[in-house]
Amino acid sequence: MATVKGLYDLIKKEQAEGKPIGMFEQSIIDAFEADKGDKKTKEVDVSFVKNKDETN
Amino acid sequence: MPAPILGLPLLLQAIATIGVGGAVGYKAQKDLQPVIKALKNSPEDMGNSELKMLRALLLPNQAVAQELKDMTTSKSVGTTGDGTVIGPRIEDIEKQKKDFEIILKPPTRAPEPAKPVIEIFPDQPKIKQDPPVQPEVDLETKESFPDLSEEINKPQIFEQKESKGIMGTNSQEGGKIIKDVTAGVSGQKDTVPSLLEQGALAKPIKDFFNEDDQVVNYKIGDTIGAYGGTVERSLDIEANVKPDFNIDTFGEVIKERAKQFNQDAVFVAESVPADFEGANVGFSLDFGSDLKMKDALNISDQLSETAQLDGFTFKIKNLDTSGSSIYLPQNIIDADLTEKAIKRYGVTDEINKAGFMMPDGQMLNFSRNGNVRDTEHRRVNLTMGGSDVNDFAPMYDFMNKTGAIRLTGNANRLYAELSAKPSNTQLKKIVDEYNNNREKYDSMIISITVPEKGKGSGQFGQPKIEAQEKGIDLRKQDYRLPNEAFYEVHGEKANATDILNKFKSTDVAGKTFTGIRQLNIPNFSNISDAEALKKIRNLQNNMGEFIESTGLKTLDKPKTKFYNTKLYTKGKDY
Repeated sequence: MATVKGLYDLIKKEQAEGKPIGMFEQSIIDAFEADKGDKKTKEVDVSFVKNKDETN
Repeated sequence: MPAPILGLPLLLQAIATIGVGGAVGYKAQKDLQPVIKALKNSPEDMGNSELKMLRALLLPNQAVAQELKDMTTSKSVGTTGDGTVIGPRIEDIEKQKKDFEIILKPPTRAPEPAKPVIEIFPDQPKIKQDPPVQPEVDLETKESFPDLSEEINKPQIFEQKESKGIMGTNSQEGGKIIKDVTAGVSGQKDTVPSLLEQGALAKPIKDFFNEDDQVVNYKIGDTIGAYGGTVERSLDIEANVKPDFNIDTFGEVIKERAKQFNQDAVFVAESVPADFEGANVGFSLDFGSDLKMKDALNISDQLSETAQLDGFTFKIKNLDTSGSSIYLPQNIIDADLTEKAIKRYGVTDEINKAGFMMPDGQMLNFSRNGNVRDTEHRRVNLTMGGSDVNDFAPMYDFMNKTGAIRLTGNANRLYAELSAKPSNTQLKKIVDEYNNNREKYDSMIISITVPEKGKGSGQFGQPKIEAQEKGIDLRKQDYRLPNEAFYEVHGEKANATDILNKFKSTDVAGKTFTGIRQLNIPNFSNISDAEALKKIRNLQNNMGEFIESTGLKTLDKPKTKFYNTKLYTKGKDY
């Protein structure tokens, strides 16, 4: 039975061997490491609204 | 999470062995950000059609609506010596800075998230919308349930209140982990459920969430899901819950819904850590541009063929406000064009002379000889200042702008073609014409066309080919959803309420599709790590080719979450 960790280890192993990593694999790596990691940061969304007058 | 299409044998098999991904509850709030951003940047008056649509979208959440109002009035729009300025005011910028300072300080205790969620199923108190632009006439009704003509004009977007401190599986609330919970359930069997039925399906789930003190917040939305080439209307259920939330108790509620609505399968899923036994991966992907229903269906087919997926659902954000659509809550009527057309052609009470019926029931007289209609419908383009009387596109444009229905009542078949949602008056008048003149008509057909502008001309007397192909001929679609809206009677009496009810089931199709919520890897739990990786690479390769071949833009890389999924099947679990 496949496990998330097994999958992660396999991807990392192949990555270490120099095999290219695709976006889905990278997404798994990111999610796994975020899950295991001690997060010290948090996501924030910031939007910048340009004052249109500056373009006139 | 919009469920993958349950009720399909393949899906039953698939979901039995796979994990299910899903989006977190706060996603809905996040989805609003582009809309809010657009409003911030827009100097347009709130009365224009697009903003009216946005306002309608946001009406379910009065808090959000108030936020938008504030931004478009006091915050975003200011008056300076140079005139009206669209942008943040100095005091607002200062306030934002202070807010950021607070946010950036190390948290001492996460705030208690807000629990209430706004959704607009029929059991909710009605929220006033802008009145329709056309007069409403009561239809004869046989229904035992209340008329929902007001509800069908509401967009089906369900949002939740902002809930700070909740960030998927890693979110903490007072130091405790907050989990995402999703469920997939549909009420659809042979027919597409109406909004009323969607509400009935959702009500006990909503009650359960409200009563369970482990539920931090939730949303129950009206969406569609896809598996293979089939699309079903389903519920989009997401909740953020505290650690002691009992997924099995929730599963009982979902099973009960499945039983009552005679569904073949339903599932519930909760986000889990990567090391959870049986945890699986679920991907989600955002499109770089919004898709319409038809495009989403094409993608659904291609994905199923090429990516070897066991099911996926679309993220739905918005109403399709471009072009014409039978699914739009209400077209904005161009009163000037209507007046021009009436002035040019005059009106008639005889349908056999009429070319179009306006929303208020007035019919344009397309008879020059005074006996029957002898003027081509396409000549209505002359009213709009055009000279091309061969192309059908201007005619559809006229219909879109005025809400006119194209009539052919000069034969033994009464034919009405709609390019937008009809008014009750129009429906009643057409049905009355047919019912009261049964000796004249063998049959009556109400058809729906969604034309594409700017394509070539059709043959004389026939719709142009491109328009036909682009149109939603509800009888010819292999996709089940719109088939419910087509109406045709041969000999028997027509019923305006039946037609209206059929329109009710179509409103979900007026949305736009912004991404794919879950891409499930087949048989994940029954294969080795190497086989799982191979399947993921296969998906990756096929998705890459698919994205390239379709020109579909995507935003960022896919997002992965880990889920514990419980599938319940009819006969075995309920």
